[in-house]
Amino acid sequence: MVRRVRRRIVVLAALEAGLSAALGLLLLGAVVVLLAAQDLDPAPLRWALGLGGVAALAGGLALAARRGLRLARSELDVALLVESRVPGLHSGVVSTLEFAAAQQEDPVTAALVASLAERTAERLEGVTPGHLVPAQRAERTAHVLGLVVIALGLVAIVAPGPFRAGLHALVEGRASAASHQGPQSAVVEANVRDIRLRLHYPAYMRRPVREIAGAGGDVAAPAGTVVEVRATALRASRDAMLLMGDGQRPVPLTLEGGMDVAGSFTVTEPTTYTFRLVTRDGLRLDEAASHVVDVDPDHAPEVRLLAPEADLELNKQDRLTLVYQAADDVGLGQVDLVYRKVGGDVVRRRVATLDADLRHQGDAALDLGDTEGKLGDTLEVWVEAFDQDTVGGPKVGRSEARRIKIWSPEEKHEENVDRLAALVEVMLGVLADRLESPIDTLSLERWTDALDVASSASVRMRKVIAALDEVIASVSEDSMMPAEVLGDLTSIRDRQDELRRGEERDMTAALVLDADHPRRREMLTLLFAHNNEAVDALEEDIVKLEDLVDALREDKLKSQTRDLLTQQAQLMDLLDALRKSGDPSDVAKAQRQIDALQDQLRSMMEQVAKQAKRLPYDNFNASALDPKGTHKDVMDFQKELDAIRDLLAQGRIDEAMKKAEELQKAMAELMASMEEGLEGTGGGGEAQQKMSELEQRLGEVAAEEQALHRETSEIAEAQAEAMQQARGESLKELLREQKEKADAARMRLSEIGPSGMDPRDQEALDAGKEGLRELSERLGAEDVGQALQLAEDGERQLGELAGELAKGADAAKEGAAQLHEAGRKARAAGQAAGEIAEALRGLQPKPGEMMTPQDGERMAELAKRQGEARQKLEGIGQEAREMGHTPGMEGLQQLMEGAGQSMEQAEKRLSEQQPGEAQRSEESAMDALDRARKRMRQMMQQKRGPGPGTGLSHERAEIPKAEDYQVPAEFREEVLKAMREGAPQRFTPMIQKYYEELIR
Amino acid sequence: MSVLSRVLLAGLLVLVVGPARAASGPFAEAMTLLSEELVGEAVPLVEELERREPDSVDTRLLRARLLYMQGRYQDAVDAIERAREAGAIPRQWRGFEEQVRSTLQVVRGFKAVPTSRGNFVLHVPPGVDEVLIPYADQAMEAAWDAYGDLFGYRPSEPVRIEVYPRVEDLAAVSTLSVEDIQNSGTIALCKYNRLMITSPRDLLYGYDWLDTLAHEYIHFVITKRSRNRVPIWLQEGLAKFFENRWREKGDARLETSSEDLLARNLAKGRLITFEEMSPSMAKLPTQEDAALAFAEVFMAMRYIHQSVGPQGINTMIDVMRDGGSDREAIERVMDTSFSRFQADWRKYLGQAGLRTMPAAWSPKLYFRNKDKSGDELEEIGAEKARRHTYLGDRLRAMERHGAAVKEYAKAIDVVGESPIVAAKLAAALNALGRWTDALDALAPVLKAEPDYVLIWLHLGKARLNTGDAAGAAEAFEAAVRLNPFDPDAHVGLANAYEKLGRTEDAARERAQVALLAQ
Repeated sequence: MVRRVRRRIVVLAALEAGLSAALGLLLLGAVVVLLAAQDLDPAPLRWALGLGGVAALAGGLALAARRGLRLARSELDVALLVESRVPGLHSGVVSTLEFAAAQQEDPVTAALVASLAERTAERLEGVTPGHLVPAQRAERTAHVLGLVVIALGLVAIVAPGPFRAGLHALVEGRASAASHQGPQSAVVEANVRDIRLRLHYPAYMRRPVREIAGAGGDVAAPAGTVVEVRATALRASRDAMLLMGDGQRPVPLTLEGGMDVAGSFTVTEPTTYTFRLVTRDGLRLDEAASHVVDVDPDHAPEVRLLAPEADLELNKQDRLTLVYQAADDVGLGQVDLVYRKVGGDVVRRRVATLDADLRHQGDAALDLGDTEGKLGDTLEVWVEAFDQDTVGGPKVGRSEARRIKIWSPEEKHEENVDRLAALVEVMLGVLADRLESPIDTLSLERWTDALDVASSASVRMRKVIAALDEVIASVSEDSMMPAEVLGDLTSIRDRQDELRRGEERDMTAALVLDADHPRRREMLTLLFAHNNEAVDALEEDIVKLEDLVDALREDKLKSQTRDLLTQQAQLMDLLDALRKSGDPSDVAKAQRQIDALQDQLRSMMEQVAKQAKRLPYDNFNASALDPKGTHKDVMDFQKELDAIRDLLAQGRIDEAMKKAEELQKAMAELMASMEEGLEGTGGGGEAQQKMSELEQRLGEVAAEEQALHRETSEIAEAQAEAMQQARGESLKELLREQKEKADAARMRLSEIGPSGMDPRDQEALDAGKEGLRELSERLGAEDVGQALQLAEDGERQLGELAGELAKGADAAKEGAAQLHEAGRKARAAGQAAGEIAEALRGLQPKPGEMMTPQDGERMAELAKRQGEARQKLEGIGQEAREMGHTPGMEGLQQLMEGAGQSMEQAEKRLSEQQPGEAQRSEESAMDALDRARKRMRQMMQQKRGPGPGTGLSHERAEIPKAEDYQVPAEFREEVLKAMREGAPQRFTPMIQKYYEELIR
Repeated sequence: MSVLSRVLLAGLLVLVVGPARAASGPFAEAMTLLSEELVGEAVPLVEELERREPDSVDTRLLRARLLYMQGRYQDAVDAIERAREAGAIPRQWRGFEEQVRSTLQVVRGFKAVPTSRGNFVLHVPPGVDEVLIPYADQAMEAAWDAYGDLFGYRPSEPVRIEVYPRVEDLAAVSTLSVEDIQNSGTIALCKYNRLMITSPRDLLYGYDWLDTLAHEYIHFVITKRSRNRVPIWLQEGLAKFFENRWREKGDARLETSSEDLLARNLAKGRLITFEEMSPSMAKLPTQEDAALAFAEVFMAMRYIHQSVGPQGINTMIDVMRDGGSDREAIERVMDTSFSRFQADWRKYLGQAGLRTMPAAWSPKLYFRNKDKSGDELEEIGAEKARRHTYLGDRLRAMERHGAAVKEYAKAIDVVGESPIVAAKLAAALNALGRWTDALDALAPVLKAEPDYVLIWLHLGKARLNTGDAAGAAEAFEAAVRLNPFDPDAHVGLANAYEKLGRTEDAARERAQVALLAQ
């Protein structure tokens, strides 16, 4: 009995587990098939199904094992189960089983067990295993399974498509799934007719909406275009969509009346699309052929530079005008003028802002003086045009670049000096050849050698003379080269050439002599004499040339040192201003000045390095070969400037100033030692030396004037401060009123339109506006002195502008009324400036007012010094006059007289204790002195103009303006092409005109 | 040291040392002894003062001065600090304090190397300057013997010698400025109980630094023997006359430029009188007068030495030590009146065979930061010769030695026996392998101008290549004596020693080259 019960338990557990696993698997399978039908990738689904099956099976087995093991682990367990289910057994089943195990050892027990077994069997009579272990659980599971199977079967019957598609997808993959959809999915030739497209272009293109009908649905449009699609379905449908690209990205379409579909997409890249319809009976219809979407490219603008047509060399003060033509397929946005110093940073300036123009021609001016380019630098300049693409970002077109060399007389001069130095080396080589010549042996046995050497020397001499000719030509155009140099070079050249010709004549004669000719010895003696003569001349000329080069380089160094001193004085002024203002922007200015000084020092180092000679002094003690002389000084200066820079960065202005003063002193000492130690240019002459000395003295006067100005400014500032404190709020109020007046005047000027105005008047107008802006700013800062100056300038300049505008209006054929109106506004603004000036003059302190007694004494002292400085200037002027008439002397005298008058005025104002007035006179004097010094330097440099017949190779190129290029580029090209191909008759007058234009 | 340089030195020393003053009390007495550089004799006085007035500022400063004279600079600084603790440092001592501190600063880290017999202690900066040690050792020990015999004085304590790497250091430890040193050529000093010398490394071609050391040592000996009472002009005459005696028996040579100057002035009858020289030559109006005075003093020493021998010289010194004047000393030694001595000496000059030499050359000191490589060309008197020499140099730099030889030869035709041009010519000839021609080129200038280092260098090369190893060694030794920092000289010397079989000496020279390469 127990065994039968146990077997039933196991069988039922296994059955139940199997049913559960089947149920799980069935549900999982249904879900997977339905998912596969939804275009999901079948591969992972297959995996899910497989794994789910295994899991279900494993779960079922686990369930069976658990149940079977728990209930039928042993016969004893089963016996307990039987006893628990059948009342009245009183442990008979368990005891029978236990005693049965023991009966084999004990015969008595066996009898007892048999008896117990019989009684128990009697009690179990009528009891079946089915009563003891019912099968309800398995039956319940079987019912659930049956219900699920029936439900799924019903669903599959009602909507078999998904199941079929899912099954196919699982079995054969996604691609083929569609084809097995049977009547629920189909591929048709077309789904729609009458496709209508409306193209909405990106806003920046400013294009109208374009409609395309009857084009079959293909479209080409710029990126960013929104394509609105409308079409009529070929079948009544309940759903419609576009499938975009290979990935068939669905774009839903609206459906009206089951037939009219509509929707849109945005063009971003080349692609295709198809229409999909789902009919009312659920049939999904896809198109076999797709419609093409192309992207129309938005090209970068094209820019052409019409002028200048080639690289140029220009003066620093020149204005470069670039004429350009730009075009874009969509629309131009901005045009920039771009330049950079070779190796430097790019600088750009907007020259035109366009309103999506497709073509644009214009010109852009660049004042070389406004660039960072220094004399001798090369700038690269070009034009860049941007389109207005807001989709992919603005695209840029760039013209070709032009290289603009900033012409530097100094650089040309330096090149000439270098060429002279190189010539010395060549001549040394010839000298060496001649000195090592075997001709001096006077031995006929070496006749051939002698002739070879003579020929070779002659050839080399020809080269030397050719090089001399080149140098002479170049030097003759070098305005900085002392006149005597050309004379020296010419005499060297002539002498060498004469010697060469003499030697060549005799050498030619010698070449034709037979081996036993009696004149051979005589000829050898002659060649020997020629060689010696040439050696003597070369020795002399090499040393002379080298002395010349040395002197020129020393002069250059002196000139650099003078410039250094000027720059250093400017640094002192900047530091002084910084000490007073504490303005961080002044720190930057000072740092820039230090940069400039260091550049100058580097340039001096190069010059010093050039002066070093190649000499065979190779037994020096290396440690004793420290840098020395100017080289060392210059290196020390660099270090000092670094220290000043550091101090500035740390805000230690006073210390920086002190160091800068020491540096200035050291530089002045270097200059003095150079002036003392050098005798000046070899060819400089007495007049030039005198001029150099006067320039030096003028520099001293200028330095004194700067010092006077500095001290006067201090007193003026103290006085102004005292005045402000004394007048307090009333002053503030007055200045506020004047500021408002200045602002109002500026506004009036801003109302003036540009129409019909001469460009110069336009510039004056801009300057006037800027002046009033500055005036307003100074008034806001309560800087009465500066404001007064600006107001007076404004009154004068705007008055002049008003006059010019009135004249322009009278002469104008068109737009006279606007010009008259502009003139009126300018005059009103000028009058406002005058009123401001008047008000400010009233604020000026009376002589000696608001001044401490100490400052009063200082003023008297300054007046005395001013008088002395003026006398020195008069002395210099007198000595300059005594030098006689020299080109440029008249202008120089005028400048010095002007400076003298300003100094006299300053002296008077200082005596009258009017520091503000004195300050202005001192500024005029400083300006005139500076210009006088420059003039003197020019006179020294340009003591000699180009020689007759040499021409001026450095005449500045005339840069054409935009209006010179009004002939369209295409026309020019057409003409040129026609010329190349042989001009057709119809072009003849145009060509004629073209040439006339060119000639004009 | 050139004649001109002595002028300035004389003036400076007179100013610094000052006349000996009468002692009154131990402090003043000790100060006097220290001024007389008699350090050993000052010690008991200082100690006595320290017992009596240990807390006195003056006593402590006196101790500082003594320590400074003993070369104990750190101790001297400490003593000054102790003096400061006792009270304010008097104004007149502030210069002293500054000098002590800057000396300490300069010599800090120096290596102290006693010479082989311990008579001197060399203080040199570690590194490349150590190359000087073996030569200084050899020379100074020889000088100790030579001048000990000559002047009858041998220091009881080792003499301190300090070698400074830079002229600026000599200026820092003395009262001279760099400019003074460079202009006067005062490259070494004997003062403060020690010898001070600038390393030849700091000059472009070095200089005769061993003779200079010996020269300073003579000052040291005479100062000690005379209690610092021999006037500067006589000091300089004696030192110059005997400075070569440590290495050769003969009298020192009068430089050709001095000989030329003296001969020209003698011919014109325009000599500086001894009255004009006394008490200091620094008061002479021009540098040329000073140079002439030095040449005269040199010849006076030679005359006295030839007349009375070394013993007479010592007697002269002793007279001055005992308070006699320079005139009295000469009268005593020469056993004649001073005016008679002058007349005899003029007669001696007339018979000395002095030559005028238009192209005379005097060895010049080429200073770092002052002289340029081309400055020596300026020493060539004639412009034409200078031009040929310059062209020769330019051609030699282009390695056109044949052409350079021609230019140098032209320069010699103009200027005659110029050591500068001769050395350049020899260099070009050596470069061409024309060794014998190089020897011929140098022969005329060898005796006349032995202080020009390049002569010896090129001579050594030519001799070595003509098989004269002994001659080459002699030439290279002379080159090393003048410029021990020239590796060419050491390499040449090593090669010469090797050929002579002196492998140990050769190895030492090669080691010197390695040291120089540091």
